Amino acid sequence: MSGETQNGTIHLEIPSDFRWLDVLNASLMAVAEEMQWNRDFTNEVSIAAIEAASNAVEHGNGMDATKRVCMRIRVSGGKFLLGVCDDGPGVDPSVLDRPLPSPDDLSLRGRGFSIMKALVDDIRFLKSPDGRFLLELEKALPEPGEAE
Amino acid sequence: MNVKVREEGDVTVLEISGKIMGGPDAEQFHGLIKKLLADGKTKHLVNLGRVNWINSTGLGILIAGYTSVKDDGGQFKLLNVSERIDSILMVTKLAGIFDSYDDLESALASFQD
Repeated sequence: MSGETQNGTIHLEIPSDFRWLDVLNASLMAVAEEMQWNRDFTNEVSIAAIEAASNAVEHGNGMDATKRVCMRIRVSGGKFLLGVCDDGPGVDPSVLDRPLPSPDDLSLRGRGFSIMKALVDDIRFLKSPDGRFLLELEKALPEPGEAE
Repeated sequence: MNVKVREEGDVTVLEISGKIMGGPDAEQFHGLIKKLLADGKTKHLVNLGRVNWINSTGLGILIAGYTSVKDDGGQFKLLNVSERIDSILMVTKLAGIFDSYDDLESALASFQD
């Protein structure tokens, strides 16, 4: 086990359909097993990743299965990095400043970025090399032997 | 998302499997809840034991179900909440909203007339 994704980055591309998010989850589970991540870390990364990718499927690409969601997984420099790109116009960065709806506020939406923000260390809004919207999540890896 | 409905006495158990992710799932679940309420079934137990995962939109589906049933004077409870779903409920501070149980017997006994 090297602690890094050998040979660089794992690239995935799926149609914009929730069914294919299994591909991302299975890949993350494989990386988690290879890197021997603890259960809490794996759970947190997986929840944030599925949230990011489902946003791309639903909001970025409007669930148009002819549009592709691309993802890249990288473990490097003591960090987990996930990039998710879609064909949408992007996200207003101020979404990260919105507070989590209070428990009494049973709004149906508005919690996605709060979930991601709680589970990863940094969220960046970028452009991919081909000009598509790219959401990047970063989370420091747990220390070896860190308790769950 | 697939939903199977069965009765346990006067409690309607909604067995969900797959993913709760929004899209058509929202209309399907909301329509089912409305129909059950229209049929006079107001005690709903949602079994999440076979749900692979849920995202924030899926969480909104459960919130909508909870709100509809509560507004109709009914009860909406969760059964077999996985560690993964529990993490999302904790992060969103909604764990206290949903009454949840780990076993069917306790869940059924908790419903009040």
